[in-house]
Amino acid sequence: MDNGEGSKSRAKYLLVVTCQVALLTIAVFYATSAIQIGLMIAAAALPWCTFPFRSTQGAESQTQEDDAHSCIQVETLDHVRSIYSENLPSIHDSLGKQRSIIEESVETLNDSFFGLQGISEQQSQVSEGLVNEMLSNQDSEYSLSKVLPKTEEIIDQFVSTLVDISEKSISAVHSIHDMSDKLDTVFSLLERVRGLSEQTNLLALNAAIEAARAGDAGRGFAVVAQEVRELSVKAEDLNNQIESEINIAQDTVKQANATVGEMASIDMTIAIESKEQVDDMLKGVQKVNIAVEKEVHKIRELGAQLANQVGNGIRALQFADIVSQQGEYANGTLYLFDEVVKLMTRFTNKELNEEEFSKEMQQLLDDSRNRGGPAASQASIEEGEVELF
Amino acid sequence: MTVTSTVNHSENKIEISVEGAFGFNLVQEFRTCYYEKRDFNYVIDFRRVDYIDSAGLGMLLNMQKYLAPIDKKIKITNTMPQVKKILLISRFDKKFIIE
Repeated sequence: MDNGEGSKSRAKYLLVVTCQVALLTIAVFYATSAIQIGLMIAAAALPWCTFPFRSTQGAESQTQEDDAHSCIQVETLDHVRSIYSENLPSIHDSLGKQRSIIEESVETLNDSFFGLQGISEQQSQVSEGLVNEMLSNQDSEYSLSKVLPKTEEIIDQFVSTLVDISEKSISAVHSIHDMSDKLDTVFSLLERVRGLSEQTNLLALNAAIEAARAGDAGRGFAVVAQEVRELSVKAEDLNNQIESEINIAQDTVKQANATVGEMASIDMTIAIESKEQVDDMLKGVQKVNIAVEKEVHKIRELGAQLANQVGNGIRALQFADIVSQQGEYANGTLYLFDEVVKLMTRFTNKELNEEEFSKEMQQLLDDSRNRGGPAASQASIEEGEVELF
Repeated sequence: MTVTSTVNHSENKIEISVEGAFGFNLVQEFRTCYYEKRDFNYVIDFRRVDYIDSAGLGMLLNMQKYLAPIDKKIKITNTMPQVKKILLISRFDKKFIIE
């Protein structure tokens, strides 16, 4: 009866082990992280840690009655051991590779994030410099607050020079008019001289007539009268010459008058327009300056945002810490399995008797139960405040 | 006549009224209004002056210089905006009373 029951339960165990191994292999195949694999294997193995203990207890009570029973147990143990020892190295390997990849990537990411931080700081400094030194610097020679009055001053100077020239020109025109008036006076004087010489001519004619009437006695007087007449004709000629010269002078004065008048007459609307144009231009420049300042401020704000984002990125990189701690824990769990495999090997090689094996297993089980959870137990980065390292 | 002057002996005042563009073509006419009449107060009415050039400004300055010893400011009244602009840009508000 006992034998029949023992073989039945052994077959049951074999079936269960096969199912468990098959399920575990499938689960390992679909697992996404080493932690999962570790935890799954741990979950599957835990009952097996207690099984041999209980079975040895049972065996103890039966006191080696059944050699075939223990033979099959040993065989089963050997199967379990083989499954463990064949799969454990690949899990170790995966975990190790994962860790080195994470470390490498984290280092690169850290470098690039800190580089970004440096660049964003430089960018902030550049925009700060732009705002402080170029745009709002009131001491600069080219600042609007200095250019504006200077330009106004230049235009004022230009206008006052213009007005000054006009004033002098008009003054010259007045002098020319005065001179022209004097020339007119000379004309009227010449007219009077002409009248005198005409009278003289007439007088000489009369004298010649009187001399002819006096006969021989008047002959000498007639000569004098002739001379006087010739003189009056010469005076007339001279008079005409002076008149024509003065006419020329008068024309010249008129030309000078026109020239000076042209000089004096400058359209002042040009000055006004140029002043208004300069004002407009400066206003435009000011507008552009304000716009540029605004944009630079925006750049500065963006820089601050960038720095903030970089900080977030660096903070998020701490996932590596958590993941590697979890990996470390999974690795630790795997070493427990290594120990189990070693014990099994020693037991199947008959280096240990059942009592010793059971004791060692109990010890391992205690060790396993006394193990704490992983240090960083967070499931996500956002879960808690993470300090920047 | 685009320049007319009215002498008011009782108020000792001469009012000069100008019409059209105030420039070089009026130089002689304008001058005769004040020439050798130093002892008067002057008011120049610009209500019908729509343009002034630098010659006009020069004429006004010559008048002011000629009458300067009297030490009385010449009044320029009823200026149109565009004319007033030119007078102000040339700082005439310091030498004349502009109304």
